[in-house]
Amino acid sequence: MAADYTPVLVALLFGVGFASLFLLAAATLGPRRDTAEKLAPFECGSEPVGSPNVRFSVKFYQVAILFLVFDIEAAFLYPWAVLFRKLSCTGELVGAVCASGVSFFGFAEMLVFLAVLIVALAYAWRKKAIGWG
Amino acid sequence: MSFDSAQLALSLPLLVVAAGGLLVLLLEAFSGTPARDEHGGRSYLAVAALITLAIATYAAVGQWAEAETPKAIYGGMFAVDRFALFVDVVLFAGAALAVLLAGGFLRTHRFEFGEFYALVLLGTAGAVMLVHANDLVALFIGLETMSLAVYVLTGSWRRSARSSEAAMKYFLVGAFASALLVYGIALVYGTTGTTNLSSLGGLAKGTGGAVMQEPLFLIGSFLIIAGLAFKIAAVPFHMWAPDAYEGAPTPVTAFMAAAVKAAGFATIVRLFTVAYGRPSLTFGAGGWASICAVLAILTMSLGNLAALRQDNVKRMLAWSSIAHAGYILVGVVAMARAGDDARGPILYYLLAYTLTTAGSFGVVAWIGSRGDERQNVDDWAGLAARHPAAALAMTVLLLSLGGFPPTAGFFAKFYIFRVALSQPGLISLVLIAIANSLVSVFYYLRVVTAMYFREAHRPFAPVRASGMTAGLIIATVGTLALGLAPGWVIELASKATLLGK
Amino acid sequence: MPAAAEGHLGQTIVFWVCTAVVLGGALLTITRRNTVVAAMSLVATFFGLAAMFTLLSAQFLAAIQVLVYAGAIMTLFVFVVMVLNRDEREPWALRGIVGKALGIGALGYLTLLGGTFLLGASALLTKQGAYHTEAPKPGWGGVADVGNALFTTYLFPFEAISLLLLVAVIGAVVVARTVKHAPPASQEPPTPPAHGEH
Repeated sequence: MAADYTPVLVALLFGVGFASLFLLAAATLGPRRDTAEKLAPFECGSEPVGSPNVRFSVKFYQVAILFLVFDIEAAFLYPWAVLFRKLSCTGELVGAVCASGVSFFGFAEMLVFLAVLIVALAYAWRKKAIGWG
Repeated sequence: MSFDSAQLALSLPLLVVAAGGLLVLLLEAFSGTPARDEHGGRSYLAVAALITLAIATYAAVGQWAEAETPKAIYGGMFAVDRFALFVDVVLFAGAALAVLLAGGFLRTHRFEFGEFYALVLLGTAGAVMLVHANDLVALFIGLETMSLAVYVLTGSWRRSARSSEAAMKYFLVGAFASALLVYGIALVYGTTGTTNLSSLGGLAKGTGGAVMQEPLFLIGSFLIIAGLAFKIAAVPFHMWAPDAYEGAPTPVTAFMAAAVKAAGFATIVRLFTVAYGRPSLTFGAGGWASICAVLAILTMSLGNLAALRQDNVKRMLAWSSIAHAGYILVGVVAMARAGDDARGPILYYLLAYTLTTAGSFGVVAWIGSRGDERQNVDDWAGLAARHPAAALAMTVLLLSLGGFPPTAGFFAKFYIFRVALSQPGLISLVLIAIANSLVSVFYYLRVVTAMYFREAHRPFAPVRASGMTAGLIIATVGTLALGLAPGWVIELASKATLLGK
Repeated sequence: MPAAAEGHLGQTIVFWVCTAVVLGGALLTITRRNTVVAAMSLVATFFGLAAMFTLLSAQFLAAIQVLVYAGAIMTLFVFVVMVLNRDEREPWALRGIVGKALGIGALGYLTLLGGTFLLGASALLTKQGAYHTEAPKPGWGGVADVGNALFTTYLFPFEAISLLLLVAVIGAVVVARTVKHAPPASQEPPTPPAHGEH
């Protein structure tokens, strides 16, 4: 029920409240003495080299898409793991105990799903889509 | 939990195509670096794809007898009926033609890649899912799988700026259409509590029928129809089609015009028959038949008028394929009243149109050489003198598109118009369709006259590939055979059963 | 608004706060010229939506909304911003006093149209009866409940999703493949190593 989320809400309000408070305090109370050094974009303490607006390799995009695909795959594993016990039982679970017998239904359905995605992974691997060589 | 493995056998065509797609992909990835010479570098992948499609066709044909009584498997998600099996065979034919055309085309234009065949097979698997889908969720996944594969294929000609542009347009509009569709599905589910097409159809019979007059349900249904209208490129949801068809590599265009469109129409037929088959919804205000009638008139008329103005043969064929969607929509309108009787003509049309349009795009793919696609009508002048067989094939295919006897296109239109005329109130729609067919003759014959009665102004250097030749022969002979002996096909098509009806 | 119907003040407040976050984030997303700021505004929208899903007791969806959308898809957006690196000038803008007046007029008209539509539709949308309005069962929308549907009733679409994801992987590899030998006529730059655009 939604009322169970009251602590979450309170935590959220505290988080947002404190962050805003500190930012506001820093902006209003702190002295501002800007120098060229301070205004420079921070690059690990070194002198900035060139513009930050460089075009990145399309590889980044490719890796991001692959990450997205396998992230979705992982999202599906999550409810499956919760239900695995139930899916592997030929009958109804009696208090988390399966009396009737083991079925490979739950295992097989994720196996098929993963097999297709392993083909995808193998393909991407062979095509050197993962890795920077 | 258990699973009835007999269901697997009933979905064999889908399983074969999907497994074939995986296999071709693995072959491509793990075959090392074979000597990719000028001829046949990756032809073994094309052969593997063709074998897969042949086995899948065999599986679909083998189920024909059994599927007379429709079944729903996988928890009611997947319908096994003759209607879906017929469309499966049409899809496999379209995919096989695309595969046959591709080898020579990709080699000529120097962008061979093995994924092409895997993507065609996986896209076909998506289309098969779509055609069999008896549930809005399965329908959506099938549609997305098919569309995604075709977006990638459209943009696969990386050196061609127009290919990238076409893919971009197709993808953006397609994603928008998918968003409309999924929003519509959400509204329909929200109002009825089910996504199953049979259950939706069942609501009409029980007391739940009132829900189908609810504004939210109607908005949702309209969004679903709009989403599908994008996929079949019906006016006013067509604006992506000319650019996407023109920019895509020509074998991909053939696949798009043939298989994707056939799958889209099959979905529309199933959706309207099973889920919205209620008599009071069919012709009332906001009923789907009146929406389809408006779409049909707009699609035919704009498609033909725009095709008249094209000098580019490929773009002309793209507009012509929009116009043909309009003729099929006439059949869908007739289905509102004629019911099952209209399904045979629509199926015949889909088969005839698939062979004809894939063949005509095939000739467009054949005529070009590297760096010169020869798409302008003027580039086709004098083809008959140099390459009489190709000119004859193109003439047969164009006459079929224009609806001349004794080709498949004539009987396709004839059966559709006949079933529409058998219903009262559709005479004006048929008259508009006939007027449109007459207009279309002008632009089809313009290419024919250029080929036969004009002088060539530069030499031809067409693609030389046995696969492409075979594809063109199959499409042309098929178009003629369907026209010369239409009886048994329409007989078969009219016996197509549909689940939940 | 299920929250208001239950007469629970706290839920109503949360609902309206979430609405403000979602709509505000969406507005910022389409109005900011800085693409990274726009992307971050979208994150706010995603979080607001996740909170709304929780209000509707769709907890699994809320978790996925944060993990996949605010996490993975946002990463993709930021990467695309990096790869494209377009400058922040508007591609087109209404110029001159006439153009701006036209724009404001059109916006006003749209607001009016949308307002009247919403007023007319709200009577229909809040109607009860034919729709399923019974309160969800305990556990509805939780991980186990969604999993139950996904791995039994909707097993076929679930397996089919693997094919969809496979096609997406092939697409990413094929489309992002570097073109080997571009002919001189091509305008398409071969995907360059990192170098400045300006």
